[in-house]
Amino acid sequence: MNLTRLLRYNLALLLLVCLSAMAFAKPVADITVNGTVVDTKGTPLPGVSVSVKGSSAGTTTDNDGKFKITVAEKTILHFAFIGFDAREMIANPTMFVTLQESVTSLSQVTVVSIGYGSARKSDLTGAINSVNSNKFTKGVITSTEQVLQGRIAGLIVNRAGGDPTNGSSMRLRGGTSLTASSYPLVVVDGVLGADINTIAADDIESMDVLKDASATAIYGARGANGVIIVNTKRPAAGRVKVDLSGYGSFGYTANSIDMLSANQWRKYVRDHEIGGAVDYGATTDWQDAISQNSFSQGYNLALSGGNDKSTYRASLNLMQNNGTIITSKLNRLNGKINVTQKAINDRLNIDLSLSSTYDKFKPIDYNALRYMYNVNPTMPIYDADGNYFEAKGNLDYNNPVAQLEQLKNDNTTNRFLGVSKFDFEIVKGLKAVANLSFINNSFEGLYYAPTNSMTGQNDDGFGSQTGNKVNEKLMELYLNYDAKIAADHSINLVGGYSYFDSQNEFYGLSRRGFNSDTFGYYNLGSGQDYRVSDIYNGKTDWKLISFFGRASYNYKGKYMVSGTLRNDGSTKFGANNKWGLFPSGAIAWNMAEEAFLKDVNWLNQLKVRAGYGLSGNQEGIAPYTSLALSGPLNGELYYDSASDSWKNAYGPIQNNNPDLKWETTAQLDIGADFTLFNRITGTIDYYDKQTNDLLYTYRVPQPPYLYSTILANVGNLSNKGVELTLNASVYNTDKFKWNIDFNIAKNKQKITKLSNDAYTTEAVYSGLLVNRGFSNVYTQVIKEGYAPGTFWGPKFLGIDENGKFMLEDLNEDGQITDADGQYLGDAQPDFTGGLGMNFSYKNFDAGFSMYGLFGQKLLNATGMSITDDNRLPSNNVPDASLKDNLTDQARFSSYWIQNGSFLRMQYLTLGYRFKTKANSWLHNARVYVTGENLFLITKYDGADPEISLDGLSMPGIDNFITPQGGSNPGTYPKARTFSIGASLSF
Amino acid sequence: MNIMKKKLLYIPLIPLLLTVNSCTNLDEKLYNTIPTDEYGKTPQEIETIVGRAYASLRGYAGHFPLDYTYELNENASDEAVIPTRGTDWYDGGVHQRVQRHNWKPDENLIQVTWEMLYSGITIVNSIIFQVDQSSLTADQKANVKAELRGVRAYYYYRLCDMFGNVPLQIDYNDKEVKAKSTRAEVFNFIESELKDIVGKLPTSGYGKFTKAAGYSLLARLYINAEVFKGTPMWQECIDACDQVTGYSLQTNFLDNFLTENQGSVENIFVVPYDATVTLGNFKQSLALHYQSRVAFQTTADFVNGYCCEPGVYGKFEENDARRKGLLQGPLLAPDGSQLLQSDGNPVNYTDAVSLESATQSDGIRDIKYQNSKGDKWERSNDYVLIRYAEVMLMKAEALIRLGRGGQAQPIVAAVRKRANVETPANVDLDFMYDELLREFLFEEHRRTDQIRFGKFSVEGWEMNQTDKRREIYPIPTSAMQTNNKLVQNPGY
Repeated sequence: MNLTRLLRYNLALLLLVCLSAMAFAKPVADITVNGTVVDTKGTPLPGVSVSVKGSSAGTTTDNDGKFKITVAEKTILHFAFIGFDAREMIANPTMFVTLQESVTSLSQVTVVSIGYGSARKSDLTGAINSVNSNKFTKGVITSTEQVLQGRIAGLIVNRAGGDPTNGSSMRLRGGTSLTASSYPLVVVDGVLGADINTIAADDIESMDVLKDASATAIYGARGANGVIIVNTKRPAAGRVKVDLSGYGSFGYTANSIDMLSANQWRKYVRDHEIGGAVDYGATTDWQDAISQNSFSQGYNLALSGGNDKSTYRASLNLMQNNGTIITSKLNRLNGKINVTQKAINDRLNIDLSLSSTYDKFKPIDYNALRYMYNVNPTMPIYDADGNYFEAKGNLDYNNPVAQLEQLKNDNTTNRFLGVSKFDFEIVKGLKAVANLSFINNSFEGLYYAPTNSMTGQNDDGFGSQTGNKVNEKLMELYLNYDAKIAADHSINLVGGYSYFDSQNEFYGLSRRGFNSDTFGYYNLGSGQDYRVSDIYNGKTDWKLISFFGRASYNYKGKYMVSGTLRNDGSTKFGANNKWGLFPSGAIAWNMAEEAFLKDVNWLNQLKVRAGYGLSGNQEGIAPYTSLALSGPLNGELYYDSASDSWKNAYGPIQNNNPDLKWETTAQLDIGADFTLFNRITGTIDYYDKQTNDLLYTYRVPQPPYLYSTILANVGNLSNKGVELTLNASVYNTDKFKWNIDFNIAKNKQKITKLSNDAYTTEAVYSGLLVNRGFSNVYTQVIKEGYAPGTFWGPKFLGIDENGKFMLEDLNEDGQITDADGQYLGDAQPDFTGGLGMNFSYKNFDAGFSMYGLFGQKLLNATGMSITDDNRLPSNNVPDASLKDNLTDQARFSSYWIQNGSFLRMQYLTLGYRFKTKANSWLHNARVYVTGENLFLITKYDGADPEISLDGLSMPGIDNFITPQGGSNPGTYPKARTFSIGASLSF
Repeated sequence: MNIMKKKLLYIPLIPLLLTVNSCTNLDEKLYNTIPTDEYGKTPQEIETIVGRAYASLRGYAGHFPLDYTYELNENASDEAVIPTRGTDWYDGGVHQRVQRHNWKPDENLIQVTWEMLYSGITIVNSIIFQVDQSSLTADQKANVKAELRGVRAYYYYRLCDMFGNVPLQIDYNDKEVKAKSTRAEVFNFIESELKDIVGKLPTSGYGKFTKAAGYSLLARLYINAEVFKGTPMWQECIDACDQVTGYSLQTNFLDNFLTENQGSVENIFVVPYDATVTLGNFKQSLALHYQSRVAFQTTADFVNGYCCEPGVYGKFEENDARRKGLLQGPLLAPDGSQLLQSDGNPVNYTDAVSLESATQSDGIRDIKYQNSKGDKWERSNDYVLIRYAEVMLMKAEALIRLGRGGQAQPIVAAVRKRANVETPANVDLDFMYDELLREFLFEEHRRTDQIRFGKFSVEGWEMNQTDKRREIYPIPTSAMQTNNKLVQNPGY
């Protein structure tokens, strides 16, 4: 039996941990150290990390800079604090330590979370980048992902459009999947899979991004997309501290498409003698009509304090964010409480925290963003009676203002995260940790389309209430053992068990046929009609059970070896592949510590490292996908003549696949971390990532298969790239400081295999359009040897004398068909990068951050659809349409595939810090102004080149209508905002 | 320290103890679905499964028969066309290729048609399997299975008609993909199935595959026997037609297509629709000009696609009741005012059509199915697959082909009399050819009829493809990729 073998295997692993613990726990005489840490001016430094060299055991100084620690005799203590040079001293019963402000102010001594533990950055063997809260954007932060944008080499944070109710997508090193999400695993305070937006950006201390397999393999089947460890601000012992901050901001639409004005439209009609063209007599700029100047505000209050036994921190965060399209907004209230308590002679640490977020938001009907380009500029918003004017009898032609104002859409999201962590020191160096957490997220959407609205008319009014509740329980139990053998050998061992259960309950209720619009969405029962699919509910449940372990060895801080192993079992996997094994190993060499480099003055630090490992992605498998399932088939009703009624038919809803499993990513990473001239620190990495067992929905013959598609593990995807991160402290004097943060990454992505013996797919045409006149037109191909999001179609050669497109007739059959398709570029950026600078002069400070994607091709499908004079006079066109020499109808070709490279000024901020007296009640006071999205450098013709590049449905297709007819968040115009804010500390 | 060490020994056992419990159990717990092999035990459950066979007739994504079989049958024939109207309806050139018989194996239209038909067959096969597994008595099983096999025969008839030689997959348990059977083998399968079940089919049940539907389908198979297997079977067709009882011509032709057309005494096999509970049937929404929303006071859009090829309207006499199923000339609002195209010109449906650059008014429109005030995008009109007039005209055609035109004349005359038109004393095949168009315009008959009359692969309006191999469609590329036993039809 597999399971038995597995149990034995895990037993062996745990015994190993246990035996190792005993073997290395040699008794040494202990001393208790009492000490104080100060800066060069003699000011006590609170929060300094005091640790035993080569292990993660240690403490931090209290508010008066004092610390107390019991260690073995002759232990070397390591003192580290952000912005100061680290120091090492031999432990004495009383110590007085002075730390020098570091010239580089860069924190090689930072402790980095690595999953089930932490390590000094200098001891890391894996590729991990971090962002500290002091680098976060100041101003409007609507999603926590945003603060990572442009900060981590190789991490694309894509915020398509400016909809405040929409988050961002993230993708590290090109992603590892075609069909599943490439969103990295988020670990908030040890809780896997928590929603990053459960935590307000103000409550985050730092985020560590685990990039290579040697770092992520400890997260097994969930680690392949990379891992983002979010460390929230911890309560600090000492004086009671109160932080208060707030901002107000003003935003407007940054980019729009220049359409014909009413007068330009009239001139066109006159010039072309279009007799019957309907001039409604008004002058309306429809883009302007649905835009608003948005005012947003946010406030944050945080308290913390405590003594050496117990500490607390509580925070409240309030945000009101209005979009630049009328009616659109997001209000968020966020609270977090964190209490820690020591017990049993300080051997037990209990850490409890509760976080809760309440969002109330109004998404818009994205159809209005299509109608605004269609509707004639002479059409008024209101008729003479003050009702919305609607010109019926034209397609996709509703009044955009009415579309937004008449449809009521009010949603709420609640996110709750409760974490309890128990950390018990069994013997010196050996800790048992229990981490129990609970996530409860719920969503509720209320919608009503009134009877007199164009959308509601079809149903005589349509109202619905939909929602879901997610309950996730996580229990993790592990042992962590730190040991030092002689002075030179450090060992860290971790081994544990994890149990995760995720349940999702969902429902939807709709009614149609309302006699009165009075009730809106609050009396659905008053609607008289419904379809059988209008009412549904259900529940899914999946579990992930894991055993994991890690061993690290460090010799003299020079040579480091680590290995991890995780065994994941998931209910979602097919019966033949219930358990997956994910090993990794890595080595690192701190070369600068070697004698032959000790004398090289300009080289302060140089570490080379290499790692290899396997990790998985199981996000592409929904619960129950491996089973043959039956159920009521929504929409498949049959007429039962005996009872003269419609009944729901039952039948198979999917094929079974007992071989279904995670997508496996094998990744090799070779990198180096360095510090030069005491001013520049940097990291360079090369990686080679091969994803096998790629999930893809294959077409299968039907019969014998019951269903026309099956989700199977077949293809391979390759990502190779190089990343460089540089942080420089150009100037660092008391008066003037200048820091530069720079990162750049190159990635090459390619589908290397799509077929195996059972399933074959040579090329799948994708990027399906449903634009008017473009039904069933494919614009992309999924093909071996090409990147996902590869554009495929006829090549544009020129415009002939009649204003018609000349396209390349590859097979020379005299007509342009699918057979004339060729490679037209792909939507994958070649380079991504970010540049940030921070300056301070006396009490003034300034900073900016830019980011960009380079080399990706985009299909400007919106432009393709609307830049066509044939749309006139009823539909509007852009100015550009009259200026091009085209008279032809819109056609898909390389003409509309454009360079999507861009560089955006993400924010620019100016601040002033007031002088505060040393013993004043006021510790810190700062005011600032911030401008966001100040400019965009691009050659792209559409509204904004930052659109979704993920997945397979429409990567790199800038289109105002999606194949599902749904919303494409990229079409919501991005805002340019200006904020003014202040922060105070008491 | 010793005590510590002893305690330490137990720590790793904590996770192990948990392990022994349910904590490594990875069985999935289901809530709103059920494993397929556990459903279909009781007669009530069987009923919901069998119902799916009928629901499947509304087809792929619930939109049967439009978009898929409809365009391939209608636009390839000399009845209908979707011209490119300015920006609209170019759609990568697919509608022009169908009109000109230049379709290719990788055409999405062909793929989804194939998949829709085979998906229906798979569904029926699996239901038959489930019925066999159930606790019904042998008699009950035979009766339920007769209907199911009838629906499957209907699907195979469509495949035989459109794709000719196709794989015969009839056993759910047979997991091997199949090579193609010849068209004659497919014919023989359908024939033997229908003959075997027709005695067990129910005699009534709206929307069901009844005995009358069984004989009608058999007649339709026989009348095309010469095309399908090379042997004419005119007498067999007549015999099958004679077995269809209980139906008669509806007094008013257009009453067969009313929004509430379930009362028709003529419709034999229909796909029932209901605008409030089912999806599908937006045939009318696809055909008429955008302004029809105003003209017919509906609440949903129209998208101005299908229209008649030039000359179709002229095939009707002026007082032919069936011509009322077509819309010609100016489109007026209920208050009598002229409705306008989006270029400002009046909507005025014309006989002339330009395939590549039509105006919004080009082409006379089909309004056979009733448009009612307040209609939504999807309609309640039940879609007619077989009606009694077809049985009558099949018999008449077969009689003519057997040289018994005299016996055919009164039958044709009865059908025409209902449409208020006189019938010549002699009805020949040429007359029948036009009469079939007049009677079954836009009912997906024309392509089959044209092939049977040898007039499909002859030059016509915007059609100069004379390759007879185009009388069956190619195996779609996607099917070739998933089943390596398939061989492409000649000519593709």
